[in-house]
Amino acid sequence: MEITKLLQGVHQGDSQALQTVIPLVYDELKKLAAGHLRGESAGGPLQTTALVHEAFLRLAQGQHPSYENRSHFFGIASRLMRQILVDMARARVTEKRNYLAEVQLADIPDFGRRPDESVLIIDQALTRLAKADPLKAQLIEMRYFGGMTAEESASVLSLSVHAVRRDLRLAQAWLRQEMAE
Amino acid sequence: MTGPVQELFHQLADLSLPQREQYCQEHRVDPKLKEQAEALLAFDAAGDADLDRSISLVASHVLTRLDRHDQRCGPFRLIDVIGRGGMGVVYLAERADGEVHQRAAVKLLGAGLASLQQDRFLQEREILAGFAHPNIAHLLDAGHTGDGQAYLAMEYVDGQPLDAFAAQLDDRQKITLFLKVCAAVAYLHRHLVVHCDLKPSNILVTADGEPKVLDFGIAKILEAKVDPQITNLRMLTPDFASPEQLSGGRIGTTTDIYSLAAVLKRIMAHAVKGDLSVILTKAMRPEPPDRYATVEQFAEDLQALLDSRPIRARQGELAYRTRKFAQRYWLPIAATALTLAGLSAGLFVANRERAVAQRRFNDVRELSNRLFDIDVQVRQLPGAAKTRQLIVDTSLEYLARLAKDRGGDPTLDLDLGTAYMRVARVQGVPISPHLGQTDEAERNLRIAGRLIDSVLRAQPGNRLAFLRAAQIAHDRMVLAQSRRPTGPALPLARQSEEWLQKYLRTGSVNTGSVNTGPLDTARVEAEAVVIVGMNIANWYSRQGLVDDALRLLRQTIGIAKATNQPLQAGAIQVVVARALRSRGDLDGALAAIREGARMLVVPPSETRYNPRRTFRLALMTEGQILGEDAGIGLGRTREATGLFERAFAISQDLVRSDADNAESRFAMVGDGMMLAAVLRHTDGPRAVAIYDSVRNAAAEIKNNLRARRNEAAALAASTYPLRALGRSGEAGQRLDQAFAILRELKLYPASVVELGSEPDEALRALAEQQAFTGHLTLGIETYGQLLDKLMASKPEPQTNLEDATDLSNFYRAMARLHEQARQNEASAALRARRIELWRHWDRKLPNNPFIRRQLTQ
Repeated sequence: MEITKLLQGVHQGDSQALQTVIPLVYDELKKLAAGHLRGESAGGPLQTTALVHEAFLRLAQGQHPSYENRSHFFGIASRLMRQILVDMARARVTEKRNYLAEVQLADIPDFGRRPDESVLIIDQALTRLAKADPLKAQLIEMRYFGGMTAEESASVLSLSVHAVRRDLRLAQAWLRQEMAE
Repeated sequence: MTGPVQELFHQLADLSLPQREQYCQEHRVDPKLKEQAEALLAFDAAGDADLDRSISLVASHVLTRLDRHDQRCGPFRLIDVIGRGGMGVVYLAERADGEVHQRAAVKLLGAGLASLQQDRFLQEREILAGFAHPNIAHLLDAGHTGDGQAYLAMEYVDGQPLDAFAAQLDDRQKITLFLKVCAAVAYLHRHLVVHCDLKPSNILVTADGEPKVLDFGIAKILEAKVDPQITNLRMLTPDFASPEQLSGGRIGTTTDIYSLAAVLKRIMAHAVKGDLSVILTKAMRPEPPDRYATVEQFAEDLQALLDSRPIRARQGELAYRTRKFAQRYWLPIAATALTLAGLSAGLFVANRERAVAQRRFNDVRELSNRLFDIDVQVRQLPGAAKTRQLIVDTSLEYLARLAKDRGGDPTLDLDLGTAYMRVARVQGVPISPHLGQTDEAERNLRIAGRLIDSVLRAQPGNRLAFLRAAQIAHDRMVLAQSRRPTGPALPLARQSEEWLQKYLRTGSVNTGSVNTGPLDTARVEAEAVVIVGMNIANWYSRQGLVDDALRLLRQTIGIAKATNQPLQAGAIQVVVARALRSRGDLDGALAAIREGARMLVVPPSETRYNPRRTFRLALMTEGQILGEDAGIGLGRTREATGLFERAFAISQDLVRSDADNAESRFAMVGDGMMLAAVLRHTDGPRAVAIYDSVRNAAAEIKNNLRARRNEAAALAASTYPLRALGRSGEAGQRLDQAFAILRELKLYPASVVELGSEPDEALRALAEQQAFTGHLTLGIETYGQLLDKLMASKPEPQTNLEDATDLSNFYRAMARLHEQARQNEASAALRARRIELWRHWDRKLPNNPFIRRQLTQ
């Protein structure tokens, strides 16, 4: 089924549509990640945002579905993107003794804390945030893992753009404070 | 999370600090609640670059593993990513045909890479296939995958990088281990292969202590030429790459010798002294022909060191020095070079803030940021100027594009302002190595300032914008004082401090963690705060605002210590010493400078700062305190001369290692002028030679007013030793040249002349020249006119010790001429004025040894 229709289904609460769309998005994200990495051998930081956007375009086969559908896609993708990153990072942190893993990335200066650890720190902070305030956690997830604009988040969550911006600002400050500790 | 703290956060977020206070008072906010909200507000940074950056870094790292899982490369199955480098991704792989259990490191060449690299890959395959040496990782297989990608399967080395492994060894064991690496590299060289990318992570040591050299990523057959493009640069590891690699020069076996030495230096850390230091210096000379000719020779010297035999490098040392000295006289100029410019250069590579993200600009912005990252890596390296110019040009192009459709978004403006500031710094702000383009720098700082202004209009409480505003005003202050006529530096200094204090009032400076990771904007900010605070304080001090200076220095040194920045704390001690000296507290100054010098000893883990410039300034400062010629000092000239010699040697070396770096030249000019001034009393010929080389060094800085002034100052100062040597004809010609420069710069004729300025120096030298050549009356007249002009500049000899010292020297010189003309009354009157001045200071600072000495002279 066409991605636009699936997303429409998701929007209307069709759980079957959701079950169909998630693996599609997941696969596409994985494939894209691989492709990007091969193309970018010099090791620039990879933008999750760019990946999510591209996955969307590919699944929509170059068409530009409605704004709402797009937002829904990003909503799903940001959750999955976080999942992918955290899963990978977790697996990684457990195998620290591989010194070779620590080499390279010389082109990215300021490479201090092991990145896998920082994604876990962010994830843990986000999980705590979700307990206290699920909406704000979702906003952060959409913004950073899905690359969604305030307008897009507002559309998915049926909120005003102003409320999204306001909550996001508080959530960012909270997250930084949490991570600084 | 919608409690009262959060509500208060929203209420206060867009208010200024006073407005916040007012709100809390009016609404009788519970103090505890207020405190919590403020703690949260402290993290309400302008953009979200920090979060965005860390997540995308993680993404790029972690997602790599998604790639190529279970893929086959010939007989191997890829298991996991173990590294990424210039040549592509490296995987751990296992033999999949079940015949033998064998592991391999498989390198896949990225499909999107240019054909240049494809060629290299194939070249590498050819090279590796022929090798068999116990200390080289062997090639097991090479070919193409099903979808046509080239791969290399190499012996998988289960080991630690050389530096990590060496950390557990003693110095002897380290060298012994290193000699095995040398043997492997010598083997390569015998097969006409240069490694080109030797670094600790490319040399793994197995559990049984056997080193293995890996990754012939950019290996070259000897005849090949290097393409000096930025793509190439990105593949190098600047810590270990040789100058010729970075500047696109010719690569040879000596290139590897340089990198090997850099590796050895890294692993030996503390132990680099004595013969080892001499060996490393020889191996790392900037010019390839000056290094060891072969790895074997380098290894022989290391073996000799182990056996306590004499080393080859020592024998060559004297010849090298003599030859170098005769070849190029790097010499002398202006006292003005000893300003905060010299102080901060080299120390402050801070400021690697990442731009804030806004998605539609991401691509362009990312590229611009990467350019700055590259700049941070290359700036300390010899021969970096060309690359840096390319970075500046490219960045400006991107920034202009970004600025065109910025649309007034404060986040983007903050970002752009930051980027323009960084470009300006590379162009010509003398706080870090720069390209000497001060006009361009000023122009871009103004653009940056306007952008930050617009951020502050939209977000009057934006903490990061406060810091940027402070940094930009600071940079403009530094620029203003390095140009002539000096711009309005003081208002800029005040302005900068005002922004800085605003920033500090919005919350405490955070320590950050020990590592500087992507999450560590706190540390980057702490570093920026210390730099700005210190340089402003230095400026105050130079303006005679010593109390302001010491107040700010105390505040800044506190922040530096609290945020674990020992090198900066050491640099601040240098400023403290200079401030104390300027008001006559020479004992205090000497204690401060010695403490500072101790702190400036670099921990081996420190790779970002090059404190040599600051260390050289510490030497210089100690020398000045002990006995600068005609300066405020303890009169210990001999000790002072030794320190000036050391400082001058360092600055000459800095110039040698990067001839295009203007700041190194200015440092050399300053050190040379100071050294020549003490030497001219004891060694006239050498003093003249140093003045000449200072002048040449300044002349090589193109389109720079300060350099032209320095030339004039060196010309004028050199006339003193020339006259003493009986070469007054030459002296006269030099004075003509000096005045020609001053006229050209519109600094002369002038009705007002500042004490210690170039016209002051030149006119004093002229008066002496006139007297020496028999025109005594003319000389006295010149002095008389100069005195009027000096007084017109309103010096403050009663309150400013430097002014007092300068004026006192003037009185004494002029009195001497009157004496020669047998005008005893005039002479006595001047001497009386001088003594009166020092009596005044004696009352002001009783029992001060410097002032007492002035009274008895």
